[in-house]
Amino acid sequence: MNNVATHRCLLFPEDPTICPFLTGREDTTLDVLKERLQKMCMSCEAFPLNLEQLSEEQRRVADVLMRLVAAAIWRGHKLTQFREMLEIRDEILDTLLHLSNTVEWALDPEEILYKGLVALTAGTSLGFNRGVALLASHQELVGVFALGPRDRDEAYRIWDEISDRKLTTLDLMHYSPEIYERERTKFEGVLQRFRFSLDDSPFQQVFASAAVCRVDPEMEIAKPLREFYGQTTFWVLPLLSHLKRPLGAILLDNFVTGRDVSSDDLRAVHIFAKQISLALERGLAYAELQEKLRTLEEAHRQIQERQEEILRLKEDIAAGEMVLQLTHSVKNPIVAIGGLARQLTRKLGAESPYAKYTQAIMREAQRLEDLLKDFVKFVDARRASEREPVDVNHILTVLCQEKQALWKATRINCHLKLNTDIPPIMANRRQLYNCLENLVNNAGEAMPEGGDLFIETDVGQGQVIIKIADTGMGIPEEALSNLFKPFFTTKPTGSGLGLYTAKQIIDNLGGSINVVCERGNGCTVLVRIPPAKEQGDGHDPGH
Amino acid sequence: MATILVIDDEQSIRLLYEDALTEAGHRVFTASSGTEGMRILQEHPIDAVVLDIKLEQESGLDVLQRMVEAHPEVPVILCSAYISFQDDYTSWLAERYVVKSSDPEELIREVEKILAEKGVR
Repeated sequence: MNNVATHRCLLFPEDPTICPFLTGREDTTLDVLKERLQKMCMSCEAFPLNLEQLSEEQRRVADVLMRLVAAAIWRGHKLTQFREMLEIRDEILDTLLHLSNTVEWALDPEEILYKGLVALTAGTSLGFNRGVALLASHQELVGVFALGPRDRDEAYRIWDEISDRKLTTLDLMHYSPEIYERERTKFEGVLQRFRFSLDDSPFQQVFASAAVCRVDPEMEIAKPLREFYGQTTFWVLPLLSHLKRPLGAILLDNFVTGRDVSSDDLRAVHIFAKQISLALERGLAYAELQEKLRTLEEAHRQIQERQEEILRLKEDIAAGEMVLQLTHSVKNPIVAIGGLARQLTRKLGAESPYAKYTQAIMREAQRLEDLLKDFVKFVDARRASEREPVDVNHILTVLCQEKQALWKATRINCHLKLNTDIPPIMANRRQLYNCLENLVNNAGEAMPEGGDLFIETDVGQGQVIIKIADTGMGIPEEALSNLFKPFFTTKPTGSGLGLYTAKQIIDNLGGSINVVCERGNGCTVLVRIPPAKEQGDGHDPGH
Repeated sequence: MATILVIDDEQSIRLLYEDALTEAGHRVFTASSGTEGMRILQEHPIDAVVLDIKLEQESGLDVLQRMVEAHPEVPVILCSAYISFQDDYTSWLAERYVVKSSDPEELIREVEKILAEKGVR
């Protein structure tokens, strides 16, 4: 203020500070008289009055002066306006350049949308208060991301922070998945409700016109939009592919400042939308390509796996066929040897000195025949087989009839207790017969001195339960865990394939098989098989 | 007593079945091929045929087909080392299916069942 005295105010020469037209901080202009005259007095309300006073005394000079001053004031205003406009254009250009540079190599659609919304909401130029991004997916527009404050308080807090930390648009454009996720989570509830048809208002019009569209409160629009925006005006930017296919849309509003958007601003927004669309189309195409690549890689992997599996199966089948061929070509001679030895034994009679030789031949042939039978069943169980609804009770009844003569000879009493309410199961009749025959034979063989054989069916937990129990010698504990392994046998002449084959057949039906043994008290075999409707595709290695 | 025709390309099997069925009280013809079997069927009244499913140079099923066409009244028991055909034999129009065994009991039992059904004896 020390200059005040040397620069005298024309109006208040004694004490310029008493000028009634100066307010608050404007008193600093008192320091420089020239600046004060230009900035303050030219627009001072008192100044024209002073000029009028002067005109009464010196009319002609004053008139001219008045017009000159008015023209100068008008030009001053215009200049200020132009400067502000230039500043805005400058900032818009800057932001556009940032956006263009920063999304140039971006391929992640999330990153592109984030940067696009920052460009549209940051700064003072366009500076929308808030933006929401939607992406098109299967004829739907789905809310994916939103940026900005949720309410006024948050708005002022954010803007203060940006100004305090002197953050530039470029700073704000710095993208990371964490920032994206944080902002997205803020609007999660809204984004979830934002699911529109491409035909919903106002999107249909926006995509048809390919232009930014202003939506006023009285316009009829999709319900979730009206619920969110209420009485606030908002703008919709279409994001279109180069073939005009809708990629998505951006919604912008000024719910805090209420600022309107000029047609110049809208032109700028349009350019922004184009820039975002371009990047987005590239990003989405890349993402789609990546996805296709992943699918292809997965398909390739699966094919390779299948090929290996097919190769294994082929080998399996080839090996199986070989075993079958072999057993068949071996079986005829064995049947002939055993059968003829049997006939010979009978003809010789027990008294013959040769009987023990023919009996030995008979016995050995029988042993080979039994082994072959097990092998054939084993290979057969692994082959493809037609399934049909099978009544387990019927199979067991037939089986018991077949064994009747044998059991009578070996003093085995069979107790058959069948629940007639059991549902049918989907199985191959012959395979299931072979399987149950194996189990029943085992039980019978466990009682060389005779005993009781219990065969029962029941339903439990929706499954068919088959129980086969004997009163034989039982199985030693150490043998129990090996029971279902191939080539394991406790019998001197067994093939070790009987129980293994039985388990394979039950496994293929989606069932289970369990053996409970009590030393000296016989064994109980429990088979559980799901009924026909639940079996589905049991694993069948033959298929 | 019934008259049985055994068709099998293996001599030992023919010998076994012939012996066992004869012991069981039947008159037995044997043939080593389908053609020979068909000729015997033409020339003699046969009550039942025991037919091997796998013959040398021809399928027993073709022979079965010819036999069913020419002599539908004669029942056929298919006989084979294969167990897997047990599912299908009825569709081939055979009456019975027996898996070959060194114990001819089952075969004799099946033959007698068929003869009883046909009222022979």
